[in-house]
Amino acid sequence: MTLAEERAIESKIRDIVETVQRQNPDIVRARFQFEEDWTGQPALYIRITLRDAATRPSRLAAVTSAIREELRSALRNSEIEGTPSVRFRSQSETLDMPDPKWA
Amino acid sequence: MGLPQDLLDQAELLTVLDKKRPKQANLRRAISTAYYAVFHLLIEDGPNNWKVPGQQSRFARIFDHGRMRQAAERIPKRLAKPDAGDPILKSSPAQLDALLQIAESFNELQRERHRADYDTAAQWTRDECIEILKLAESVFTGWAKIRKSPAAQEFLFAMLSRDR
Repeated sequence: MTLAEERAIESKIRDIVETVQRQNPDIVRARFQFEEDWTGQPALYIRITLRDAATRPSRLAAVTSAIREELRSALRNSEIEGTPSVRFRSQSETLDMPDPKWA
Repeated sequence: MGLPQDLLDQAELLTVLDKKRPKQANLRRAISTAYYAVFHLLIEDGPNNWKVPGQQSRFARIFDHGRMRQAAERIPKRLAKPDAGDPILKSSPAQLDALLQIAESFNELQRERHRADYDTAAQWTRDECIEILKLAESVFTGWAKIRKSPAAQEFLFAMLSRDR
């Protein structure tokens, strides 16, 4: 893959992640990056920080499954191959356990 | 209940074992166990289609994590650009949609299980871990709906073979 192709894919992913964030008031912050998975292949990680209220047991599964499906679906429609790993933390957890990947 | 559900229950227990800040070791074991719950859920149905009872436990050991990943990775591609004769297409759109979710979630869970077992730098929070368990639960729910469908049967077969 050329550098230009890589940048085009990254730009598409950024658009998708930003769109999903804009459409979901439960999202405080959304970050993405490629990391190597256990097979040595690049894997897309999307890290979503949620408002604490969205991580209550009564809401967590519904909120995260909707966001995950929006992301998966948009990436498939953009013909970006590979399943993203979508991780979720509450806002208070990201403050309690600072990590540059979530900042 | 069975082993898959017991494993999922065990994973849930591990996430709430520590009252205050959860130990990373417990969260890692919870994630790994959630993946194995899904792994056993799927491989349990493979031998169920095999009619010789004495061979069923041996049959289950044929399943291999790498080949299962490859089969799961191919599902989105097979559905996006289907071959006319692909047996997976004998299922309804709702069943195919459920299979897509299961295959993608399987890949995500397997990737996370490897991080939990081998990436010593990785860390998780409790909510993050609980959410991963919810993803595993969603595979249980989806699989219960489609496990007897042509799509699910084809998925199981693809996990055993090299060509699909």
